[in-house]
Amino acid sequence: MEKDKLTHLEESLLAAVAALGEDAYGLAVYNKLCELEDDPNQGSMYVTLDRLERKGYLVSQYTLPLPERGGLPKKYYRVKPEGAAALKESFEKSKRKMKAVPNSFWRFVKWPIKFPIYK
Amino acid sequence: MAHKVPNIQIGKPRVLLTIAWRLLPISCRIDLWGDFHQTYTSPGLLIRRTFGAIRGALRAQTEERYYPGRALMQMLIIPASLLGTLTPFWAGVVAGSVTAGLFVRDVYTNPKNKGYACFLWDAVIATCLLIVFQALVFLRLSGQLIPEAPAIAAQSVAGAAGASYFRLIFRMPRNPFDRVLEDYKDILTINLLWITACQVLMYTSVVAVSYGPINILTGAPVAIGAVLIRLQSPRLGGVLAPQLMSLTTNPLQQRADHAKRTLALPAQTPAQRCVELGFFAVLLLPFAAALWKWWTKQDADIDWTHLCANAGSLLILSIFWLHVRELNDETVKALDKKVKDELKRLEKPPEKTDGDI
Repeated sequence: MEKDKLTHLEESLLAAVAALGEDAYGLAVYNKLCELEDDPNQGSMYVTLDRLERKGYLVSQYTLPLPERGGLPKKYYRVKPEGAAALKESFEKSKRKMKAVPNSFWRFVKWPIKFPIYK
Repeated sequence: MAHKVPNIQIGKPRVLLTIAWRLLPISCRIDLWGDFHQTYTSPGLLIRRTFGAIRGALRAQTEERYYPGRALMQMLIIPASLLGTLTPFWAGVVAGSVTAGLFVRDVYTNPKNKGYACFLWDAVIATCLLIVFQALVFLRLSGQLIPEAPAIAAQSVAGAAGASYFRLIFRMPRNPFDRVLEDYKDILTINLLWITACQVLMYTSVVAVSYGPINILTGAPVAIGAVLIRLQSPRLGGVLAPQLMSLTTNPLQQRADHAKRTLALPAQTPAQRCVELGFFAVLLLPFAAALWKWWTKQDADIDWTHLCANAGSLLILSIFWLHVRELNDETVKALDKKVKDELKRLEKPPEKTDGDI
């Protein structure tokens, strides 16, 4: 399986499925995603979940039809080891980026920006 | 289950709910509808959420790695095939409209549905869209067009075939040969589509050059018809004709052998290579004739825009030939493997069960 870079939404979805553990089905993942992202879209979420499955990062299984879903089943997702590795790699990249910015930056950044004057 | 509206107890306007159900993308219809049902408050909100989900699905599919490249090539190849009959502006409008149609179509194609049938449908849909759009433009701006209806139809087929080849290359499933016997007919149709695109190209090139001696090439559609009859006629021993089954050979092997004979494989011998090169040389003949006319300063009746667009299409079709050839080669290998596995399974003695002892 070729390695693909995770997009922002893919990373958030993997994190949401990982956070939910055994309760990770569509609507629960969407609710978790609402906590992680601003205004996520359900259509985008399912297309991206499907892509993550095709990439081999997730695995899913349908339950039996349920009355509370109008006779339709729930689809439960689990993160595969490959998905966990990709998520870890992505988090480590973010950590490296965070480390690259010095703490002093957050204290002193303010508007207007001033550049030193060279003469 | 995916094609039937589930028994929904919610909301009164059932027609509205049915429309919403039909509009949802097939790949996530069950999941989305289940979620909508679970969090249902009003029909209006459900419709809003349906359209929101469709918008999201359309946007999310463009994040596929192959998607931007494919859309760009599609946008380039369609106007290139239309330049002979439309002005660049209208070619761009038509290409944009067809690409938008295919973009929406992508959302309604189930990615889990393996096989080549969906690519063939793409080709049919793209052809229909191109013909319809060109007809609309023709009706609106007839003064700017070459009034040759067959040329318009021919260009449409060439553009649509080219666009669908790009879709085929980019959307080819990872492991397409696990259903090789079921997919074989679609693979053969891809071959025929390629040949048809070549013949259409040849025809339109000749029209662009209007050069006496090579006008014989415009008889190509007749030749294609003859070849198709030859392939299908049982009296002429056509490979596509119904075959008599032998009682001494395994039926699966017979089916596989029959399928293998119809696919064009990479050239193995010098003679086969010559035939392959000859085919492309014939395709280049109108362009060579145009160059000759230009060299001898008698190029007044050559439509150069048309001819250059056709030369570009020829280049693209030549590149596609490499892919089609590879596809055929892999199909033949997959067929051989299937037959080998079947024969091995038959040779193996049946396992003894407790009942036998």
